[in-house]
Amino acid sequence: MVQVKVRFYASLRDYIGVGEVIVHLNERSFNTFRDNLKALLGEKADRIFSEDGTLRRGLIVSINNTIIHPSNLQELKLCENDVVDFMPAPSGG
Amino acid sequence: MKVKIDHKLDPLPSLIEHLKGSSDEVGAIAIFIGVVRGASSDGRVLKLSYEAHETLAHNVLESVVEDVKRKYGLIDVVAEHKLGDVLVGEDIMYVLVASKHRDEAYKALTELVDRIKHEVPIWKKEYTERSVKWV
Repeated sequence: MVQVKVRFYASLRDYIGVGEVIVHLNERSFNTFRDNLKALLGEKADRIFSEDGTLRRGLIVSINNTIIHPSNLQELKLCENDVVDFMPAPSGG
Repeated sequence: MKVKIDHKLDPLPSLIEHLKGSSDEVGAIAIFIGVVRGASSDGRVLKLSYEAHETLAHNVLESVVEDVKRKYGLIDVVAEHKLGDVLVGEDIMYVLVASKHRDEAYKALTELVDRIKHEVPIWKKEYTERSVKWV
């Protein structure tokens, strides 16, 4: 069993209601991660993933402080203690 | 090159001196100062509050600055962004570019400010007399 920390930022954190959750995986693929995260968050996961399971447009995802392009998510294999961050589109300045 | 994302910005005159001292080839310094506007579509603004993914924001800011510096052949760049609460009229962001001539300084500054706003993971919450919302 692999344990992954998931963090949410700014408007996404406020919408979901918590800053971080722990997701347990019995298989390391991104699809399993996504499905388990959706099960944990319920309908609030709709702010992160579209109906077809892809990342919502404009969101940023990083793993261990490296930004991952959405087209590369399917190839990911998550590891024990990975930190996955979901962020809304930047609005600085 | 100097980048900073912090609760306190450095004094602007010291940043200008830093750039002037970076090379005797500096012939132009262009400066952008982002300031909290007092009015929004939701009424009078009380403050903006900024948060960031600090590790990523620093890395992305550094990468954006390097990229624009290389593209326009700039001599040096400073980019600083404030975190936490910023009141109306206070400074949010400083971007300074030093180049040999003004043309590349103007172009680089515009591109740099746009890219910082759209690429660096920093977010702001607007507090007005009527609402509090992420903008």
